[in-house]
Amino acid sequence: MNIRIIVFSAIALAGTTGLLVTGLSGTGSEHSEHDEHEARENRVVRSLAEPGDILSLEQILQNARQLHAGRALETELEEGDDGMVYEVEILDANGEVWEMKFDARTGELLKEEQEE
Amino acid sequence: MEQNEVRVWDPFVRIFHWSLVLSFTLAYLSGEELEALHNNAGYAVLGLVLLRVAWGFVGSQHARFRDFIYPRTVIKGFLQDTFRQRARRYLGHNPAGGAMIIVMLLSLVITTLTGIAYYGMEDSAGPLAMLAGSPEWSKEMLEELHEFFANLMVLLVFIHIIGVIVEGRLHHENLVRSMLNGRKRA
Repeated sequence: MNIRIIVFSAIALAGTTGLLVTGLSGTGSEHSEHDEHEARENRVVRSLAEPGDILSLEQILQNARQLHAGRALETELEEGDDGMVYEVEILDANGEVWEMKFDARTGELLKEEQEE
Repeated sequence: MEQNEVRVWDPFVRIFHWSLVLSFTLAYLSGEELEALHNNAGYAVLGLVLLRVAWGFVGSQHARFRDFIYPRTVIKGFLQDTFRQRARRYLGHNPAGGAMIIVMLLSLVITTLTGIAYYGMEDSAGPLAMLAGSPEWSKEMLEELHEFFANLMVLLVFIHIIGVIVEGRLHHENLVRSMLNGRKRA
């Protein structure tokens, strides 16, 4: 048997075995990157519902609706330069869309503009 | 080795074949469910295919592409002969089998690359993580392609198995056994 056959066979066997074994064990116990991504998102979502560092989304929506009563189209929590920022879009009774940004810690209105 | 038998499939071809069967099966069954297993099985498939392509140039006689790539007319003629139960016997891959290998290798390359690209876009992970942030339509297109070629592969596997059964009957030989021990009747 020549050396080439041995090299190719060894790479194929070792590679396949290694990948499949780690894949099978990783499936059971460890978290995949996808799971970690989800866990991180869950943590953020939880912090929106619980009192903590930042105000809850409920609280921010209440503030926003006091400025512009209507239906919330989109809400977003972003990491701004000066900390976390909520962005809220509200469609009011006149059919106009308002975009507002709030400081996530204090609830202070940072920006308010009517969308085209 | 029995007296009238010759070695046809070298050890790498056999290891490749059965490792691919296992890896593809696991990848197919774990799709959308067990991500770690699905990814690793997919990487194994791609690695095996790349090795096989290299082996197609430097491998043993019947493993080389030039041993089993035939002109289209020969493939057609072989299939017609097979229907009439009078196709000649090839020691290595027959013309139709050779064509099937090329189609399967291509299909597997497309399946794995679209899978890796989709994974890069969706989870910003893997070798193509830099594709993260690509537009939604491109992600959906990759997902569709990935699933299409994975399912096409299952269809090809069925045709391949039918081919193995038909040829085995025609020439009274056990081709599965040949892929295990590498030997065929001379």
